[in-house]
Amino acid sequence: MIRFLSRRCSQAVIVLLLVSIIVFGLTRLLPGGPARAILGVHATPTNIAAFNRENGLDSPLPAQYWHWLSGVLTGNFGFSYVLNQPVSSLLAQRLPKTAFLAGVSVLLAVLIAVPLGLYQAVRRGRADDYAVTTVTFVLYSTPAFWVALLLIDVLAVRLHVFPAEAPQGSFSAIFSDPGALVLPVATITLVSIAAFSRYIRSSVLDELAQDYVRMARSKGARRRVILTRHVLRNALSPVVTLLGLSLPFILSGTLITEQVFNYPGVGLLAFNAAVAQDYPVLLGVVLVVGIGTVVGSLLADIGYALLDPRVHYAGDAGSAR
Amino acid sequence: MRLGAVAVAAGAALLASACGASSGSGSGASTGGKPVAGGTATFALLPGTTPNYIFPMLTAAYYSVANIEQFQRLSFRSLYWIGNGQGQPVVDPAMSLAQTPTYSHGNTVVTVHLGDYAWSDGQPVTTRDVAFWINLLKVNKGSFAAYIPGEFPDSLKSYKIVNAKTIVFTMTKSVNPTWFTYDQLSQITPLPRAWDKTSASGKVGNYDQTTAGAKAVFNFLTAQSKNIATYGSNPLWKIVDGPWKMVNYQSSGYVKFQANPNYAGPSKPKLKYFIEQPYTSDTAELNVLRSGSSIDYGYLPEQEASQKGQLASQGYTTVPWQGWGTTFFLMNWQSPKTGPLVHQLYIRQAMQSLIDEKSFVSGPLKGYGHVNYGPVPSQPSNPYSDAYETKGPFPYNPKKAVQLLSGNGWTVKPNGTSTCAKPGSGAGQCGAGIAADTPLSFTLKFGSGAVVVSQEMQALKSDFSKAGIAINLSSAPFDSIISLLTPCKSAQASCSWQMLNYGGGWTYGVDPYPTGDQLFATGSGSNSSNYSDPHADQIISQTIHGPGSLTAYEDYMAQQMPVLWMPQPVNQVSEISTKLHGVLPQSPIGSLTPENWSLTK
Repeated sequence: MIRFLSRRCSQAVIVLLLVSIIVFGLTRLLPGGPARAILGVHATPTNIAAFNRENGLDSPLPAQYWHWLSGVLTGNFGFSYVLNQPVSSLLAQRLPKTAFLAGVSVLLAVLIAVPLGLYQAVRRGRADDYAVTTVTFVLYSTPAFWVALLLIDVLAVRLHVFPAEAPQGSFSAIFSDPGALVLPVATITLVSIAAFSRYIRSSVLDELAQDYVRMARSKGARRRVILTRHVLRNALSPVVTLLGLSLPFILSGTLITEQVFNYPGVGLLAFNAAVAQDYPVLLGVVLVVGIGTVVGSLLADIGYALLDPRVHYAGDAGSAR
Repeated sequence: MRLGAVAVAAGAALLASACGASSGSGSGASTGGKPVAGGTATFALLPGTTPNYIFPMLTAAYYSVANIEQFQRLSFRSLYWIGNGQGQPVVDPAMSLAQTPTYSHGNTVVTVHLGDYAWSDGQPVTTRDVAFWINLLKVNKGSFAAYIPGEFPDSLKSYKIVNAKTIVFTMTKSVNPTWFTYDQLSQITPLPRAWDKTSASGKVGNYDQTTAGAKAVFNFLTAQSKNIATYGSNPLWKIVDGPWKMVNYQSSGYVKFQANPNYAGPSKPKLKYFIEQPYTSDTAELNVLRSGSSIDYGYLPEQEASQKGQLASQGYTTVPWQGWGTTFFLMNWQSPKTGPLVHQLYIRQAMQSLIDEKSFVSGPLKGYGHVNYGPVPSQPSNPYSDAYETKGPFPYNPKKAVQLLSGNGWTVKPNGTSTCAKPGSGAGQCGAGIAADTPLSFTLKFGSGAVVVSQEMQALKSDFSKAGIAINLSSAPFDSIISLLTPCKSAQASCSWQMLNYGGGWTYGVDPYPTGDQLFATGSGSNSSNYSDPHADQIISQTIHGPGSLTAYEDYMAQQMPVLWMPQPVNQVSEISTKLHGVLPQSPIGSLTPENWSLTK
């Protein structure tokens, strides 16, 4: 396992380097350049030249990339000339917020989706299965912003049960005003349940058709025991993979929710950075999301092995099989 | 100096907001209710306008209404305050740190007398504080966004501190008093002596009086201003001469100000706190307004104008906020292909006659704007614009456009493409550089993503076709459009564009005197249409270094059309709580004066 991990980590470093090079190159292909975007439509050529000089944007691309990379290696992700803050500070402020919002939402979605998917599989083809499927498909096909607006309209504007905006201020504000996080969490949870429950349902149905289930039934094992101890454990494997790969979503996929609920997280940070051509922030977020993806994939593999004893890691292959 | 143009869709987003700069209590958006002693008022910031730079001598990257008018000037006042109690873009003597300046010796000597103001640390605001600014500016002028080569401080021969309250500037050349007061002196912001240091732990000295020292002080203050994590606690920023002192700043752009009890101005704060609340999107802000909580002074996104009634039921009053600017789109005078067409006055006049501004205002702008026919805004009410420009010498008139073209040698083909039938530069001929059968056709690039601009351009294409002027519309991302705005020569590859609409124009911000030295003077840095006219240069020069008034300039520009004038949208459609008073009039240059505000239950 250690050999496997070290090999995967080496691969991850190479992947991240490649991702950073690609993103760095792509950002430089954006039309206009950051100077014009930041300084405005009436910036003079003198203003633009001064800005490029001050920010090292007049250097050759390889030199710019090396300057950025060497900074990252020492913990310096650069400085946002749009937000007037170090990128590391921005990430430190925004990442916990997004991670908390998406983490709680995904956890709730899984806690609801697992029993729901299991129930649907057991009740396959019956009216309640169709009913749940219909509801989850409706939620799945509804854009997150629409769910958010509906929740706000009903629960904030009409009934005044919850506020229309997420907790403001620093990360700790979440705990002093937890009610303000209910609608953002509900939005992500509702649109996530469908995917998870469908996976569970499908996976459980596959397992129910396996020989070991028939064997257990024939030996008189109780249905609940078969479902919870045997079927569910095996059926969870694909969900673990799904969860592992959800880390990028946790980091960046909450953009819509953040925008609608005035919750300045890392998704919104990346979006605004792209619009404003704030290269240092964009690169910083991409790097962090890239790390999240690689780590998520790695955790998924490990989780796979823990859930399914048949899975093991061959030192020579370096991958799950 | 310029504050940048404003995309119509994002227009409000780049401009910003706030309440009226009035010398008195100002009029409120509402009446009635029991007065609240103190209290907190919350102002909603438009997305993308969060303040993030506190040191008033700021670089171009931070030069915005949000940073200057809605952040710095709450705490640090400049010599002259722009915006009076009637919402006009003129100096308000009562709100200004200095008395009206006197000009002598052929307008080469300017005398400024300071009023009795004090810093919050008890020290009086003196001419030494003014000199501090000037000394820093002289050495670091290249880093100051508002610096115009050849003008202040280059044009400052010397200054003399007569006493603690009087300072005399001697200029190298004569200045137009109105321009100099409005666009130059109004930018001078006295700085507290406690800032004259080169490190946080260093002693206060007279470092600004040497070149090396002024450089070091500027670098120190700039570095401090780039450390926004300390904004709420840094003792530097606690020494203010304005009515508000920042007590909390968060990286999201949230700012909380506390009233400065020592403010010596005419209007003492009645509120205890004033909060600027950033919003991630128009939707987020509107949702909070609709839920009727937390925002006292917000805005209605123009695309959501239908929500006005619901907001009224939540206790908000809708008040359009007129900005101080002009909107237009560009014709490239140096375009190798269409430059000769643009050089013909009658063609420009024909095109202006085909722009149905009234329909644009009632249609895409939903009534939140006004017609605009020149460089000097006709609204809000001001002493500069005249009837000729306001009425417009070439309002919408397709018949007139057809007459202008057919009278100058064109075969006009409505709904087709007119062609030049009589080449040559004589009377009744198409004009120099226009060959026979030249089609009257332009490619117009405009910024995508802005619904209003897109609607206007589609309508314009249709209207232009009435005189056979073919417009080939081409949309592109905003950043791609504005990348073409650098002045160019016809031989350059970057000069091939023909017409360009970035959805904005020019905003007269902290340079409220609406002359055209930066916009239309030959070779000026922001003259993106490459316009050049010796007569225009001469009358522009008269408005800044001669006795000339704006009348000659604005009338000439309205008649000549160096650009094609478009209707001017409002800065934003404000939603003001009926419990918040003293907000109106809203400042045309975007200033906030919460010291005039008060709350009722």
